[in-house]
Amino acid sequence: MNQFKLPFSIEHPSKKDFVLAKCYEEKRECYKLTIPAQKQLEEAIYIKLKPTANDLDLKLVIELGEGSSATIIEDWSNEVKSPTIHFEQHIKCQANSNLKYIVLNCSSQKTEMTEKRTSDVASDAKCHIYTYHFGSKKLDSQLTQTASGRNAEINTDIIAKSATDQDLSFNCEHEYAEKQGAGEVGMKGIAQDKAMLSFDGMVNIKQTGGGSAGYLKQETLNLSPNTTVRAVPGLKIDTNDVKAGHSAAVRNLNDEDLYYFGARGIKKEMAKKLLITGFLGKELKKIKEHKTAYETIRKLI
Amino acid sequence: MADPHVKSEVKEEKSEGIFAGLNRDTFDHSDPSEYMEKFKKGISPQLVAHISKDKDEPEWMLHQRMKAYEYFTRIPLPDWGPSLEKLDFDEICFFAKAADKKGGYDSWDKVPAYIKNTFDRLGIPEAEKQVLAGVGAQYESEVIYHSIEKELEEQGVLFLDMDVAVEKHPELVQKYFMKCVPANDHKFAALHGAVWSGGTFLYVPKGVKVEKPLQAYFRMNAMNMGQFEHTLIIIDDGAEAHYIEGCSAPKYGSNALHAGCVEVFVGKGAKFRYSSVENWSKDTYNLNTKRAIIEEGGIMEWVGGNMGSGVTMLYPCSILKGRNSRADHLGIAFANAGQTQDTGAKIFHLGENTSSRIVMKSISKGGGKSIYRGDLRIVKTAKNAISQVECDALILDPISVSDTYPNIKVDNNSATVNHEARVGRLNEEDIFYLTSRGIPVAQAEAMIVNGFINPIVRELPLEYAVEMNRLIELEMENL
Repeated sequence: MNQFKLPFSIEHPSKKDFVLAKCYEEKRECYKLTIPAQKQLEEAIYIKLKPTANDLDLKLVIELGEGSSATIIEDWSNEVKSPTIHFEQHIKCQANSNLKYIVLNCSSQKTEMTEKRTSDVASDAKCHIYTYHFGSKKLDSQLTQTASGRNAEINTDIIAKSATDQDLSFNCEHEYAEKQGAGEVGMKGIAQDKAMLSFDGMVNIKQTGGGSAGYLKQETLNLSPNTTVRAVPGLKIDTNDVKAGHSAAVRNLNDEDLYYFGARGIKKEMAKKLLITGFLGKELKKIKEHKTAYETIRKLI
Repeated sequence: MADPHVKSEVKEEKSEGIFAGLNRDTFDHSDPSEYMEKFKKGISPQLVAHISKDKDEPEWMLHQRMKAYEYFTRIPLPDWGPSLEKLDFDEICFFAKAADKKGGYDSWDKVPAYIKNTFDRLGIPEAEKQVLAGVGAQYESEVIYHSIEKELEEQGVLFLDMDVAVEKHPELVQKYFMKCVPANDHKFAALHGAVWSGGTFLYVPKGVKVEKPLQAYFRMNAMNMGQFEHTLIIIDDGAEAHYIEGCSAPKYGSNALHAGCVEVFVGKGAKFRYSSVENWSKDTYNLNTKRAIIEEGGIMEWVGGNMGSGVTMLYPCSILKGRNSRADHLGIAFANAGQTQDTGAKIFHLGENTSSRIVMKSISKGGGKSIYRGDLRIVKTAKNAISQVECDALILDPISVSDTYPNIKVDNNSATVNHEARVGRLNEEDIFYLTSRGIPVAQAEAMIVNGFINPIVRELPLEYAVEMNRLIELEMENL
């Protein structure tokens, strides 16, 4: 494999367990990674974007065959210094497959990035996307997951830290098109300095999606007086046999908590650091088994 | 000796309340409308000038109307929300008078009998006797009855037909009129500014507390009517009042339009509650604008029920200008077959230590669509602002729809904002529990729905809570 020049490297102990192909979709170059049916990958596939200072335009298609399972980690290091990045991704999870997809974005804080990620999750399949975003000067991220088969499960966790003059905007939609779908969107972020952080979420249950349960939760810690935070938690429900809800919270660190630390001799800065780690810690634990990714994010928090 | 049976009937009637006997016929009843022959449909600068002349308005008001008309011609229809495609301005009658008595009659006995009968059916004169401090009743474009308790008049409270207020208190009106909702705010504010007619002017002087509510009732009677009443309320520093607005129209199967405007100014330390029970006919476009500016320590409460109209676009707005000011928005929307209830709230936190609370409940049934649309903004100056938003939606069948579109923007790191929304259907266990005790399914469902909306309804005076419950019952029964 790898007969062509890739803008990323792939790490996995057994590269025979999946297929990477270069293809064209609507005359656009794209890369397709396929996990064959019934293949259970125990080790994560590591997709590491190569260092570059050139503009980047990339499309990636991920397909999991029936009954397969995999964990894929997509890593944008701060060596990715492209002035502009256009990234498109489509995930297709066939029936009974199970995908855990982790995005670590620590790209240079000078890049302007637009990304569009979509997933199509078939009957009894599961797709959980985690996005940890710390990079980019400006980001316009759109992520849409569709539960297109019965009992499909779609979950998304977006964790972002926006500092200095970063402007990060996340738009995430979960669409339930078939019966008995389930899933949650979690959007959690920290805004500080002069940053902007926007969470736009939507749970959309179609008339054909009876019996589905969809939730959306947005939480933002707003740490500096010059930040701008936006939260738009939406619901679009077209039938009655559903369980759906959303919540959004925007707040600063709790004075009482800071006082509690202070009373025990912990300085305010350290107390803040501990509280922030606690705020994002729960989300970080979700990827604890992937040590490299876990350590990268832990350091950034 | 009196017949004990007669006594008990009277007692029962009283305990049921003034509005308990309301039925669909009460609202759908229409009076003859020969007077409409004198009025044309459509809007033009000539019509705007004619309205002003008919009311013998001062020059500034005519100028303001003409400017608003210009905005109306330039501002496009909103490119969001429910479709307004079928709203044909050429088919709407923008100004019509059923009786010619500026300021309205001061006694129900003087009101033309057929109009009085309509308001009798709606229970307004009876409510005036029992629970209200004053009443304004508008029929088509003009107020036909207005009254206020003498004691309040003596304390300096002004409760007038808006047309009369322009004539008798021009300085006060000019100072506040369309300053809270400027005519260039949106298409329908502009339309309103051009053709407004009737409505209420309420001024409560400093420190005066009006204990009983004041009510205005707006009734459209003729086919293809448009109503554009203007409500201007000034609650001076430390004053308190409660105003109730009701409205209805018969159904003709042809479009009607309501684009009223409510402006409220709440002074320092003042408290004001605006309650409305909206029940326009289901061929009405209800595109109303309601907004309040609240000064330091002031409290503004919006309590609303939207049951009628084919299309509603209504988002009461509070501008928390003064420090320590507060706004509560409590609302119910019921979207039945063919209805789109696009309602919500807008709150702008400008002052320090301001707080707001939004509680919205919606019910969708028979293919109806209910939408919560919110806009909450906390600007840099609003230090320590707090806001809490709760939206609950019940969808009663598989073909109905509920959408929630809240927008929260925070420019201040000392703010605390919480938003929660839930959507679901009636709990089957609750229905089972009630039916196992011999209650029919339909009644059980109605009881659960009444319980669902109770946190809002209980904020209304008892008589109006009964009216709201009755309207919900009528919707549940499809009557």
